[in-house]
Amino acid sequence: MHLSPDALVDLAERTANDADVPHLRTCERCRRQLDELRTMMSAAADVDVPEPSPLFWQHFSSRVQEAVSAEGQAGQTRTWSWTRGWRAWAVPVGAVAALVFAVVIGSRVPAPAPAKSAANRADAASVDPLPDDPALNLVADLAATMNYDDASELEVGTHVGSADEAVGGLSAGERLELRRLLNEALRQPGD
Amino acid sequence: MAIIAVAALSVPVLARQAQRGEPGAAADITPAELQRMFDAYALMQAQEQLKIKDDQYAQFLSRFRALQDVRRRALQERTRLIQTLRKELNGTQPPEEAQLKEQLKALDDLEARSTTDVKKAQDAVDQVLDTAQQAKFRVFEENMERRKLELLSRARQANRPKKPL
Repeated sequence: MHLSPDALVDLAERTANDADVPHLRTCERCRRQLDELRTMMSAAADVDVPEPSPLFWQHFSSRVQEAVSAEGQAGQTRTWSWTRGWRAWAVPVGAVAALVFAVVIGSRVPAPAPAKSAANRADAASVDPLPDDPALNLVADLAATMNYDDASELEVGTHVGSADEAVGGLSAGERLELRRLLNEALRQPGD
Repeated sequence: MAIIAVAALSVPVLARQAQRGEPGAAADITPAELQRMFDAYALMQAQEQLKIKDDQYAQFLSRFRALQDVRRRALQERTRLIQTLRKELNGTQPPEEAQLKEQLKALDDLEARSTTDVKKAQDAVDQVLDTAQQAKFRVFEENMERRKLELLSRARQANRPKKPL
């Protein structure tokens, strides 16, 4: 009878002594599993996790703001109104923005700030907070309702590390929920 | 078989590690713990999707972790440099050009260095995998990132205030 997963975990975590488990001395398979488990735990413990950039969402917001502003200016020169034409651009804009918005922006869109001087606006170093733009709110709403499959079908691109960056921006409640979801996912190997 | 056993065992281990202290207390859940859970999840999925064999497992594990570490270190360093730049640019005094140039160079150097390091780590992973697995690994990483973002998105949505109908 081989060691149960719980018994192996206890041994790996040193909450039980190898010497107290005679089976280990005679079973190569269990010894190997224990060694592999300890290797994995050791590797996991050594992970050096960076603090995510506080500028991440600001930079993204800034780029979206520019895109939305450009769209708005173009819309003013056209004969069709924004409200008539939103469906035409909402899908591609929403598709690109949806995944990241859902994770990063959501309710964290900053409140409108007092107007800055022209000189300050010209300063490339400053990052203007987002205004309370109805077009932006629409995109945020689209993001909230777009799921993973929709984004995948639309071939929305991601870069490795974007999730790592976003984790640091979660609230305590969101972290709790994410842990629950991850625990759920870890219990489903075929997920 | 051993791989499956280890993968299965990682679940209770991580669950225990993540829930030490006061179980369920949100304040105890750090980004680092969530990263560890993401890593375990990615490893478990990689084993399954790439069909890692017993004789590949140990090397794949260490090299995959090395790849993740290299990426994270680069991100951490970049974050630090960007924060430094931000402070200077938002300071009361205009930043000195020489200092800005120095920091821009540091960013460029970091980018070049991290690109090389990531490439080396990626090559090391590839050496353990056959061609089909290498191809799958590329797709896997993209899919895994999306899956992580989906989980993040769900965690956020679950905490959003309900809108009145």
